[in-house]
Amino acid sequence: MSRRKGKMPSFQTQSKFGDHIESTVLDCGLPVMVVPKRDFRKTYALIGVNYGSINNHFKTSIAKGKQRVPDGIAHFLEHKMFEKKDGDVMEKFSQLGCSSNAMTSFNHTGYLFETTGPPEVGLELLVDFVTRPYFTEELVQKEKGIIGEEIKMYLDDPSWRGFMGVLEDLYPGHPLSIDIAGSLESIAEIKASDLQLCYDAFYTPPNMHLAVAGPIDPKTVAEIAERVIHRNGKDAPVATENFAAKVRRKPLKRRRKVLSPVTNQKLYLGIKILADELPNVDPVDLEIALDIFLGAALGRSAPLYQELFRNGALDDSFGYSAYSEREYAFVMLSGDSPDAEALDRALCKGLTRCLDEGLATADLRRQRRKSFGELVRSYDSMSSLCWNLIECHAKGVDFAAYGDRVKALSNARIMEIARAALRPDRFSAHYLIPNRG
Amino acid sequence: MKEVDLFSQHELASGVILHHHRSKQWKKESLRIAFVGESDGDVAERSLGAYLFRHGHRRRRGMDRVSKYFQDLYGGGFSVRVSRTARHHLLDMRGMVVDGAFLPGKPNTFESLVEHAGAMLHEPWFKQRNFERDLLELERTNLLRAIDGLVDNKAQFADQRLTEEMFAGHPLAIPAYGRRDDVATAKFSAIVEALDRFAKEQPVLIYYVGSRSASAVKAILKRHLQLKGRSALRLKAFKGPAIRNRPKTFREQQEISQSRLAMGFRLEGYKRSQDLYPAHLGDAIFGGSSSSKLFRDVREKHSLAYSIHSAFEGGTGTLYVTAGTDSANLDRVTTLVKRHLKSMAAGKFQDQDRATALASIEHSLESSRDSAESMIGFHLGAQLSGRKNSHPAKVLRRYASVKPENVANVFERFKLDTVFRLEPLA
Repeated sequence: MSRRKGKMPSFQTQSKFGDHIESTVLDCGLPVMVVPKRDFRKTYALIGVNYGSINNHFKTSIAKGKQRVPDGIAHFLEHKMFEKKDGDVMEKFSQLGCSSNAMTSFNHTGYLFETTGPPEVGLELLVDFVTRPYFTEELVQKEKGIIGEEIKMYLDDPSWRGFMGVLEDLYPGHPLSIDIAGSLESIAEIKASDLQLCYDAFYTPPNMHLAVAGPIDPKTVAEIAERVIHRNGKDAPVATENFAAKVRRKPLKRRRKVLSPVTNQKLYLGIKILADELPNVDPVDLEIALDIFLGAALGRSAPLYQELFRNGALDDSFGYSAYSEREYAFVMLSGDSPDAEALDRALCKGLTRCLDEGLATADLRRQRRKSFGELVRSYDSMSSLCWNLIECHAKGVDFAAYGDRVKALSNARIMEIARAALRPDRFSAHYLIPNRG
Repeated sequence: MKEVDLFSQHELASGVILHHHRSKQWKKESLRIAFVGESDGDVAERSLGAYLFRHGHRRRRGMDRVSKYFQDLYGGGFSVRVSRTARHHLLDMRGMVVDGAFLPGKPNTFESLVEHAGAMLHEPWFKQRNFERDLLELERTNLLRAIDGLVDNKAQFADQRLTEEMFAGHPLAIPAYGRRDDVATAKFSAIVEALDRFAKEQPVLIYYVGSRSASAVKAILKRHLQLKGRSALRLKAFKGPAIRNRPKTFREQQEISQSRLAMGFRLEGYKRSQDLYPAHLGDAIFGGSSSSKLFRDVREKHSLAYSIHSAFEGGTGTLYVTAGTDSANLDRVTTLVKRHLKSMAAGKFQDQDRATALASIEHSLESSRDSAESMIGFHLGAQLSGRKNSHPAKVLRRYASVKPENVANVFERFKLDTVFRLEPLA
C-alpha cells in the first residue's frame, strides 16, 4: 500500500470553555480526537469500537455467507485482547505505571489506559494491542472460567437482573434482550476462530475512534496511531453489515412479577423508543430532550417525585436514565418501593399527565441550566471527556456542539420530542418481589 | 518542582481550619466542611440528622426548593452525609458549583453555595417550629430500607459481615449509619441535640479547591458560615479488640449463584509510623492491583475468580481479601490466598513486582491531584491520621524507601483473624 510518508493530518480545532478539541481522521480511516490539557497530570486515552453484544448476526466481505456468532462474544473478545504471545498487556501497562481497563456494552467496546507519566509509550501499547490480536484455543478455554464467574456475579446482582428483565420484554427476540456477557452455555461454544472472525469484521480503523485528553500534543497522538496501525497491517478496508433483528412495536408483556431473593420490592420500568416515530431527531437531541424532560418530570424538584416521596412510595434508590444510541433508544426508571406495582401505576399516570399537560417553562429552563452546567463540569474529567467525544462521534454528532444543542432545543421542541418518544403502549415493567414469605 | 503543601492552612477560629488550594485547572469550585467527632455514641442520631439536612433551611424549606436552587446554579450540588474512619466519625457537608467564569453572566455561584451551607448550619428547617415531623419518620424508613437493602450487594454485604465479626464490641463494628435498632428508635430531640453538639463543639476542617484566592474565600466564609471557636482536632490511638489466637471462620447461606469469600488479617504489633508504607506497598504486590500476585495467580492462571483483591486499611492495620468464586473452589482460593501471604512473608517477590507496585502507587498519588475531591480526601485522610507527609511527592519517597525486608517483616506479622464465607443454599 502506498503511504504519504511524513505528511501529518491536519487537525480541526474547536474551542470550548477554555479548552481546545482537536480532531482529524487518519489515512487509515481512524477518527482521532484530542483535548490537550496542560494543567493536568493525567493523560487518559480511549479506543472505542462500534461493536458490542448486539452485533451477533452479520455479513462481512472477509467471509462467505451470513454469520451468527455465540452470544457474549464481543465481551469475550474484549477479555482476550489483553493476552498476547509475549504476555499479558495489563501487566505491561502496570509496569509502565499506567492503569488500563476495558468495557463492553450493547453496541460498543472501549479500551483505555491512563497515566501520569509520559503518555507516548502507553499510547503506543494501547494502539498496538487493540490492532494486533492473538487468539489460541488454549487461552480461549482458560478465559471461560473467569467469564463464567463474571456472569454468576451479575446473576446475583438484582439491579442487573431487573434491568435485563425489562429488556427481555421490550425487545423479545432482539439481541438487546441477551446479557452482554452471554450465558454459561453460550460462552462454552466460543472458539478462537469465532473471535478472529469478529475481530476482522469489526475492528477496522474506520469503525473505531481514538480519544485522548491530557498533557499531550495532538500531532504526537496522530503520529503514534498512524505508525502502529500501519505496522500491524490494519489499514485494509473491510465491509461488514449487521442484520438488524426485527423490533416488536409493543412490549411482550406490560408487567411481570418475579419472585427474587431481594430485601425490598424493586421496580424496573422501561419505555421503548422507536426511531421511525421520531423523524428528524438524532440520538443526541433525543438524549438532551429526554434528560431535560425526565429531570423536570421526575427529578427531586418535580411535584410528582415530591408526592411519591412524601407518601413513601419511593426513596433515594429511585433513578432514571435515557439510553439514546444509533441502533436503539429506551428509558429506564428504577427504584425500591414497599409496593412496586403501585409505584409503577403512579409513575405511568404521572408521566402521562406531564406529557399531556406539558411542564412549566421555569422547570424546563432550570433543567436546561443543570444540563449545561454538567457539560461544563465534564471538561474537568479526562475520562468523561474521552467517553463523551467517542459516544458523540459514534452517533455522528460533534461533541463541541453539544452545549449549543442544549441551548438551542426550545421547550416546545423538548415536549414535542418527549411526546413522540414516550408512548404509553411502549411501557413495560418488571417487579422483583422478595421471595421470603 | 517545589513541594509546598497542597493546601495552605488558615485558622478561622479556634478549631476551625480552612485548607485552601488555588488553581485555575478546574471549571468548578469545591467546598467540604467536615465536622470530626468520636467514632462511637450518637452515630444513628447523626446519621438520621444527615438525612434531615436535605429538607432545607428556614428560608428554603423542602427538598424540592433546595433542588431548584441548585438547578438554577447550573447543576451545583450540596449534600450532608456521615462517614467513619478507624478513630473518627465525620459529619460531612460537601458542595460543588461550576465556576461562574464559565457561565453566562458570570454569576457568583460559589457565594451562593456558601450562603446555602451557612443557612443549613445555623437555621436548618428541622430546628424551626413549623418543621413537619412526619419527614423524620419518612427518612427513618428510607434509612432502614437502605440498611436492609445492603444484603442485595453481595460483595459489600460480605465485607460488612466480616468487619462486624472481626471488631465485635468495638465502635468499628457499628456501621457508619448506626445500628439498625438505634436508627429505628432514635428520638427527634436526641437527633437535634446530637447535631447541635456536633456542629457547635467538634473541630471543623474546611476545604476549598478552585480559582479563588484564600482571602476571597475567607471573606465569603466569614459572611455566611460564622463558625465559633471550639477544641482543636485530637488524635487518639486506635485500640481494637485483641487479635484472635485461632482464626474464626463463619458461614452464612443465601440464594446466590456465586460464593463470596472475605478474609481479615490483623497486623500484630502494628505501629503506624513504621508499618504503614511497607504494608501498603506489600498490599499492592500481594493483591491490591491488576498486576498483583492474587490477580495473576487466582484469576489469570487458575481461572478461579473474576474479582479478587486485597486492601490494607491503615487506621486499624488490617488487610482485607475479598473474592467471588464458585462454592466448589472456596477452599482452593482460601489456600492460595494463605500461600501467597506466606510467600510474601518469606520475601518471595521480585524487584519487578516492587517496581510495578511503586509505579501503581505513584500513578494513584499523582492522579489524585487532577481531582478536587481526591485531593481533599487525600489531605483530610492525612490530617485525621496524623500523617505529616501531605504532599504526594513526599509520600511517594516514603514508599520508595521501603526495602523488601520491611515488606516481608510486615507480612510475617499479618495474622488471619476472621474468615467469612457467603455460600449458596444447600
